[in-house]
Amino acid sequence: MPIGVYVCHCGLNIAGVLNIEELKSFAEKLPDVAVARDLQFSCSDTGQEQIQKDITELKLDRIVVAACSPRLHEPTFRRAITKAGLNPYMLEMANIREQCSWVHMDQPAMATEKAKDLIAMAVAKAALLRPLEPESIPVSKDVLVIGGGVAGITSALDLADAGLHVYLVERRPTIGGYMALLTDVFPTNDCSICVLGPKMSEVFNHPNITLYTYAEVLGVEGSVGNFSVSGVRRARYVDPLLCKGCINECAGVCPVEVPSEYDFGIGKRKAIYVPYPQAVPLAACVDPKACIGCARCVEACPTKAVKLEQEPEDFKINVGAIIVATGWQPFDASRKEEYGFGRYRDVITTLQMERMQNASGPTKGEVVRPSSGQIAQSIAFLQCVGSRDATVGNIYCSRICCMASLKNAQLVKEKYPETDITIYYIDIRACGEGYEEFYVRAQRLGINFVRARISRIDQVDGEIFLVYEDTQSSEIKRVKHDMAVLSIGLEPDQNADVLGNLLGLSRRPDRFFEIAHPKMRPVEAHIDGVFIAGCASGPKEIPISIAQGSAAAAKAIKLLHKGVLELEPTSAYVNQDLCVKCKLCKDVCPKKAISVKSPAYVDEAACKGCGSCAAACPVDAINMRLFSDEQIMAQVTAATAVKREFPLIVAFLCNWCSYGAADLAGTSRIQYPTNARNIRVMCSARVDPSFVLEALRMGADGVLIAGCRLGECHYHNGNYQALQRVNVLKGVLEKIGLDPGRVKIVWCAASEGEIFAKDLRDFIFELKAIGPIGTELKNKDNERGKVGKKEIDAGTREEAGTVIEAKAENVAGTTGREPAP
Amino acid sequence: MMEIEKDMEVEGSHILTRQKTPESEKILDYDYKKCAGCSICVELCPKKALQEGPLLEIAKGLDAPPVLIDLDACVFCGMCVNFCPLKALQMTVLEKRPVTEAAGKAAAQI
Repeated sequence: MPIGVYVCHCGLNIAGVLNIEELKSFAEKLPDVAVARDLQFSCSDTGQEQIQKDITELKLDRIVVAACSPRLHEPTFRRAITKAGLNPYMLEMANIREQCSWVHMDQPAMATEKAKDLIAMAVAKAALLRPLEPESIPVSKDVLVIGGGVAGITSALDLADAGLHVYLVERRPTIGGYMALLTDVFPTNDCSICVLGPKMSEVFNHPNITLYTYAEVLGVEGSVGNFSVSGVRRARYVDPLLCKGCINECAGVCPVEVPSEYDFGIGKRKAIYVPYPQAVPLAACVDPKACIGCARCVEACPTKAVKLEQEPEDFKINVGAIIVATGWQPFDASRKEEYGFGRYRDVITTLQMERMQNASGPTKGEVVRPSSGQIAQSIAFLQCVGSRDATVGNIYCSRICCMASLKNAQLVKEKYPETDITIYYIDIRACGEGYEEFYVRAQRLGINFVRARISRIDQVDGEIFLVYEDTQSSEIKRVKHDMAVLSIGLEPDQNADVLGNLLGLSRRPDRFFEIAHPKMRPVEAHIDGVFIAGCASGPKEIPISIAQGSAAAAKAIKLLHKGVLELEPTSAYVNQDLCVKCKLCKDVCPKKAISVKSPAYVDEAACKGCGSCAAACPVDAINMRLFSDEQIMAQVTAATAVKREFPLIVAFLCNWCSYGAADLAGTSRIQYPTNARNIRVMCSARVDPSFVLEALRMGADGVLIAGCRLGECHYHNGNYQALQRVNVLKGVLEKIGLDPGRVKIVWCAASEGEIFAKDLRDFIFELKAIGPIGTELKNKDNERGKVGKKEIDAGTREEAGTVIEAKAENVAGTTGREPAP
Repeated sequence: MMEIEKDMEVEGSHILTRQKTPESEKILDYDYKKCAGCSICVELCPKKALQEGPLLEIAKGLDAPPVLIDLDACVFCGMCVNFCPLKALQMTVLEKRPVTEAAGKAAAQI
């Protein structure tokens, strides 16, 4: 089996730290290696062509590329060797950039030694690679869109037009989101509902869209291609098929009036209501919190559509992809107590201003002082209320508020030219097509701009006064206005928390949903088959939300249009002759992919390849296609074959979080010591106790296992299983006289490179205190006074080895028995 | 909009309040001799249509209802009836047309 090894310079990224020549000559001497070369940029066309040429000319059948992280370029090299006629899975990568040269920049000699081990490990694993064929599974071509705002509507329409069936689930009784409530929108000042309304009715009438309004998603199971989603459609107490939306008949006799949430408190609605005249579906809805049950509406309805006995209905759907377009919620202005919102009637928010200017709003388009009902003569706009403000925990810019205030100011000025309007701002952020011109237009209209952050608003005798420092004249001022409009920022919708947890979406520090890559993958979530569009991933203007809605739809179409999905052949398989039907594997499987009738059987389409079953099997009857027992053992052996430094750590990193964290430490150039030899596994639960014992037997001073943070496992609870196994293993180590501190399990998210580095530093510190492997046994022997003349180190290591071997089988059988809580 | 007529009459100790719509007639029958003036209904009336009468004088022997009903405000929701511990308030609902039939007709028209 001729193996080709390619050591990449990556410009100076690797060659600047590591001695490439030394690595190349080291690799040449490794078993089975037919050729070792160094390449300037192995991922470049030239690099790939060299590899392909060698495969053809030297009849190589396995390739090792020592370069960057496999998470970056494994697909590239797999494609390259496939073109040369090799099976794509005959490739192994040694990560000597992110996890070596970038993190050990100040210790090039030790880094080169580490790189040798990493290459030796990769070659050892490569020798055991087997050709694999990717699995294809049929997928559902239906898509679930959650959230019926402008982003969700765009996604739904694009998908439906492309021929996919869409389920659009909206929490409120109508779709349209916040955009439907706005008056004219920037930068063209065209009417919001006039452009959105037709789209809303298109959604309602589209044959490919099933619309669930007043509904919520309560459960998501399955994975990409085959999500099974359950939810509930809350009772509207009105049959939407019978309701004609005339609303005056029922709401006219309804005796209960409450503030309308669609007017943000400045308008009123009845207990039976239609959110706004353009609502879709145009059907009334009874607010169960307000209704007193007098049943007048039941009698008044000419079509008898009101059904007070209606019950919530459950729904269950199967979809191939999910688009999360859950949007935002306005910042609660009363949290800025100094502005008196909620106490002073003439202090209102942007959204209330929008409703006032809306022709179908509570004031029929008039901008009036709420305290007097008179047309406002002087209006102040206060920017950055709840944005760029660490005191309320929102340090981000909400992006739309500057433009919204410019727009509202222009609209007021056009309607009432005599009105005195001042915008108080920190910075005006008008960056977008036509936005700066819009700003200039506002200045020309005679709108005043004052650079100040208002410190407080006072109310004296019913008049409001703004107190601020004008930062251009450095004067403290106190100015009277009829009305103050707070430009409130955008916050992540709290109602989406449940959904985020169901789907396992992660959040950025600003609490919006995190996308898979801040630049390159703007609408993808970390979870396969889940996409995020619109303000769910951060504040956005309408055009960008629409662009993201379309982008998410395109991604979903790309994923599902073939109707089949190619899966990595990562699954587990059972050696049926060895199986003893103990059912441990069935209990630990997070995907319920294993059935044990006669011998155990793995459903390979359902299996996601975490490998927990393989670790749990007491007789090693289960193995994995990728990351097989033999391959990992070969890596452990290669890592410990030459002990190049103390303490020598064998580290098992889960593919999703901790390996990502180690890569991130590299990308962020976080420096840490060279002691760890990292082995990538799919999940921390894959780590069979026998791997750990083998590593210690071979002379590693410590074993580190790193998984996703507890509760964030990509396989549901794999890290809990790993934790439990490690705890049992520590007991075993203690029994055989080794320090249980030699095995450590840590948690880090993919964004926590710094934490990974810190955990590693801590572990090295602890191991230095414990001493080289076998120290404990040596001390014990010293106590007993049994130490002979033979060489101590070798003796203790041998002893440790035999003891470990004897115990190894017991451990495999006893660990991972119970699934974690 | 649906026409709603209301009237009130007194029969002995019973104060009968009526609401007539084209669909139904609801009669709220308040027997003030049964009423102990606990004011639960006054507290919970969502339309604040019920009001305490001269309780002190009634306790001293005045013959008057302990609870006063505001005919204009009352919407005949029946909440007071459901909570009255002494059943001093009763409601009778007379359907002019059976609701199911009406709904069926309406549906047929569509």
